[in-house]
Amino acid sequence: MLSPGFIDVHSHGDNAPFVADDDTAKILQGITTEVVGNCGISIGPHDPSAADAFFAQLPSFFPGVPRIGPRFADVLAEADRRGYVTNYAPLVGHGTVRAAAMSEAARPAGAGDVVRMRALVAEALEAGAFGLSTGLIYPPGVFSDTDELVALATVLGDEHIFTSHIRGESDNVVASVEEIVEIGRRSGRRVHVSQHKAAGTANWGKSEQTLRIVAQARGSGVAVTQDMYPYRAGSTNLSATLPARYHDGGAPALLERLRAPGVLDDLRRAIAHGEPGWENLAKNAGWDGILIATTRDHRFEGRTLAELAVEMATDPVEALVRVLLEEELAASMVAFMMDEPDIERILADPHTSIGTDGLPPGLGGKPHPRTFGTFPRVLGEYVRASGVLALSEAIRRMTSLAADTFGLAGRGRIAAGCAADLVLFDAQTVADNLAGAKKRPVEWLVAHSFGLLGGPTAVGPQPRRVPAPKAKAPGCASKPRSTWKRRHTPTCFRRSISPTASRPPATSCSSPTCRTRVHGAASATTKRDVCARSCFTYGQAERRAR
Amino acid sequence: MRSDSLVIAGALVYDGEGGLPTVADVYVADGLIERVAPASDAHSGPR
Repeated sequence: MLSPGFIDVHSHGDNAPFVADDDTAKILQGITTEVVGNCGISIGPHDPSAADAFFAQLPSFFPGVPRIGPRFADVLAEADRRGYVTNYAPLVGHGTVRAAAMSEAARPAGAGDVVRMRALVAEALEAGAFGLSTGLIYPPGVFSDTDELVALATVLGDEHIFTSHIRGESDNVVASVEEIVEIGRRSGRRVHVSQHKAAGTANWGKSEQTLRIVAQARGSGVAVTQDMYPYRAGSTNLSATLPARYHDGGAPALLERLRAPGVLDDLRRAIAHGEPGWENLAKNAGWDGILIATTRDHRFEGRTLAELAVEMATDPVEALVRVLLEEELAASMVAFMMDEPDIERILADPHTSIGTDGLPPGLGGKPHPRTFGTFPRVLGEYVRASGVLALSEAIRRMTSLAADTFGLAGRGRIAAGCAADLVLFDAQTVADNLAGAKKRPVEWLVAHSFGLLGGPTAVGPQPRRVPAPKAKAPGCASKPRSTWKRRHTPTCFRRSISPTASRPPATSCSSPTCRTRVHGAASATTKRDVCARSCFTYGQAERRAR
Repeated sequence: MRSDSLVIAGALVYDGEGGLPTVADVYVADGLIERVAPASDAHSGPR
């Protein structure tokens, strides 16, 4: 079946244009557009007087980014120059803005700080940001209060969105969702809960309550949406396991605290008993539920903190500190914290779009499988296997709902005038884990008619930055701006282009019941079985189910 | 034959709006979907 290309509304692939090797994790699962800059983290802006420290720390999360100017516009200009792997729709990160305006201080923003932050957000929106993201468990976003966030949200226009990795996804998840609703109500802007979940065994089932809060807010006129990834484990920086107070002053101060005498006892106490306003990830996941995913030099990867503690002949808290110190904080984890019924309940909500939340390319290691498998997993596990969603509804969540939520005009639909972002896949075989099957999740993929999978083609322009949203309601009916130009991008796909001067013959599916054929430059390398013989029977079965 | 750069013919098309799929021909030109038309049997090619 043919669908609009999938839209990853929660990507951390901000640095994809900058890394030496093109990131294939997204295109292999059918994604043609990524919304980047999530969780309050974007590549810019930064304080020019602190540029050395900024660029010293940046590679631990965004490898490959060169030293560039301090404005958000400078980041986008350099990304434009280098070119994109998928279409690119950036958010500006509140944490990044806050650090640029007032360093990483653990204090509320003063009036002057808010003025500076508002100016930086406005500048980013003018440069092409689609909205403002926040990450309220991470420093320095964790130090903000609701008033600060409302003040920044009001800089946004109707066409923009305020997204949030909320302040708490475990014990405080209900209050944290209520905070986002409050921000939406007070600012009058559209708000979005990123990776909606209920983490920690004590909180399993709370999604029933949080979804009800969000639904009631919508009923009262607050525009609230959400996204999710379909896995029981989350993933983030390993340093997120530390109390917020450890992060005051940024990475150098954090490292100093981890070397201080008494740190182990302090951390043991904090993790055992918790601290107000702190998302205690280690307690939520348990030491055998925290798997080291990536580290700077790739030591420790693939083992839990419980296992590392045994290897080091110590306890998990000391193992945690040793990993963070030895890797100078450049370590990420996979943390098992969620329950399947919550996943299914959130996925079933009609306002839930899909995001990978995959960590940035270039980190290597053993990242969370969501980076590679989120979209095929929704189709394989939650459409075909468990039937949580009908196929057509799942596709809507991955395409038009995502485009409408984030203001991606002209994308997410197969209709005249829309970008030719298209994915062809077999709904009866698509899956997130095809190891050994010698098969990829999707068969054929084009972004703006530029072939990404299924063979090179030079039919259309290459992926590009999505034009910033306009105040008018987005939709595929709106014709893309005539000023769009083809960009020449230094991607491996560009290197593999061999433009075809004449139209090759059509390629057809070999199935007697399937009539899909592709005429055009892509057809020469498109698999003959691109439209699997099952596609018609699946559609018929779905029709009958209705 | 039209002058489109790419034609995906006879595909089971989910348009992204959440409705039932239709069998259609999708014409693409210059990076955009030019039109979506009911599937035609006029296209040649093996069955």
